[in-house]
Amino acid sequence: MPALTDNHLLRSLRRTLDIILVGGFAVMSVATLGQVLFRYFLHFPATWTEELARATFVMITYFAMAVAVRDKDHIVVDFLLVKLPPRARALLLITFDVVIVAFLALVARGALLMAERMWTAELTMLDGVTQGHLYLGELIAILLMMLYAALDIAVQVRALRGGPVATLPAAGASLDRDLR
Amino acid sequence: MIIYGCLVIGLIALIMIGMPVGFGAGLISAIGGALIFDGIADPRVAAMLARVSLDKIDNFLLLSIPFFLLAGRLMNTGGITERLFGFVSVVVRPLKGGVAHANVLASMLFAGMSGSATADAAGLGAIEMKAMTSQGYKKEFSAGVTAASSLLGPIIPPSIALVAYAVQAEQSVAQLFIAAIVPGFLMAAADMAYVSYKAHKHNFPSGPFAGLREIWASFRRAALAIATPGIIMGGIYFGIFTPTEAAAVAALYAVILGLFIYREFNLRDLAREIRGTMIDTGVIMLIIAFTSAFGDIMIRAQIPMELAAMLTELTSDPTVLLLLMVVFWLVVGCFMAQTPAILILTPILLPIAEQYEIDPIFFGIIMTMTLTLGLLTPPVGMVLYVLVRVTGIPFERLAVISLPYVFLTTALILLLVLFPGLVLFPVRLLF
Repeated sequence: MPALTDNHLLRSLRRTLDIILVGGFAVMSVATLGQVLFRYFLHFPATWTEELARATFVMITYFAMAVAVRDKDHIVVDFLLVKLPPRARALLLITFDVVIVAFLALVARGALLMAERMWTAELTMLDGVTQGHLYLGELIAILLMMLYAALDIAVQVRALRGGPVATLPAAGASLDRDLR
Repeated sequence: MIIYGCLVIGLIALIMIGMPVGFGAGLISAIGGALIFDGIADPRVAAMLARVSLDKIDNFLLLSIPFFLLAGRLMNTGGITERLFGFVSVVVRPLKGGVAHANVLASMLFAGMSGSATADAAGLGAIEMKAMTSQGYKKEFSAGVTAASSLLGPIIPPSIALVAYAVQAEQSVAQLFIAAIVPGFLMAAADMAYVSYKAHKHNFPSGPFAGLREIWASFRRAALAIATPGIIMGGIYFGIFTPTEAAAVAALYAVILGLFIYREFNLRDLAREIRGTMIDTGVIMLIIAFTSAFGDIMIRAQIPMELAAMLTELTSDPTVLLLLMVVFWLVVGCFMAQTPAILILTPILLPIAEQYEIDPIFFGIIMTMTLTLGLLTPPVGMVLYVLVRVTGIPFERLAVISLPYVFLTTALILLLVLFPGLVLFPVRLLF
């Protein structure tokens, strides 16, 4: 089971996502602060900064959602869930994950449709970047969410069968390890 | 109406049995979409979910959430909270129960830099607890004041919860921030009045006047941090920055203070905090993305209008309606965190309030304040969970300790419902 949740590919993916989040945040910050800089210090209001900040935010937010799914960092009302016997709880969690994967598959289909439809619809101020690119980013992030939810199903099924419970690494663990 | 009513009940049931809030709302939206279009296989359902979720996130205002979150995290990591607490505790030392008063005042200042109660409880809360218990205050009393003062975070601007409301209700963040100032200060005043009562009843200690030299020295240590609320609110009010730019400037300011001036963290720490900030943002945005379609479907199905028609038969008085909603929010707050509750309930309840001609800014402040109380009430009081880690006091005991402050804030909310002018006069004065 550890090979399922902690193999080389997943570690690389984890590191890539960390870099996307931190790097994307830096781009978003520079664009937002650059807007102030252009307006007050260079007396030249930049038209592209807000759009760049927004587009970056949309992209990294979807990837942050994928990380939240991976780390099971959801907002959950769990006061009833924790009262269930372990077996019933595992069954319910598997059901949730199956429903989530099905729902995400639907959103992924929609993101693909929208990416095709909007592939040439350029953003107003960012040359070469289209709405379709944003939907493609959404699609990739949704597929990642599906991957992590599916991995969790495998982990929960293993727990249900009485095997060793392999939990996904805790939030914050990867950065401590990977950026060292 | 009945079918869509069942969808609302279905969403509540899914959330109650532990389905992640964002995905629960998304699933119900998919079913609602299937009812509106030609079944779940209709490509318009899938396209709607993908489009509405991206459209909702593609909002410049929402960028302020990660920036304010990062500012709050860095204030804790960068030693800024310690400096703040040091300054206010020197100032109020001669008061009976001085450190307890300092607890409230420091949280008030911190609330002016961050927008989150849990950031206050986890960072500043630990410092406040240590200071109070080391001066002989009972752990329980110290925890109660710390819990109550952390509630100032989502009320005194900037506030992440108010940004979430502004996005859902399409209202001005600047007006919401200005409207929240008086309620925030009244909450702090109510907490300090209760501390004074307890201090006189139990004869809490007071210290000698620190002297102007010591006050000046501690002010100089904290001055750069104290300037943050002024930069944010002054910048927004005088039109220098948009709220999002002000949030980015606040985050940059916290980076400069912690990294270059106080030298309390390094680049690796900063990267870790940014990553944590983005994950917290992802958790919130997942709910925003997938509840937006839910809100659209509810409005398309005329649910808020139908509910308003039903409520009109009960009462035509906006104050009575708002009081009923306060009771409802108090119950909801017990089971659901503040920001998700705002995101889900605003599209349903705001149209009702508008039919009763309740000001949407006033409505947002009352809803946010009431749902904030849920941070201190079981079973999902998030501040209580944070304070269990900080204080070592069991969750159930913390819930009991916090009760007087919950009652106090509830009384304040009722006062504001009866006198909306207390909330709205600064907005009318300044806008």
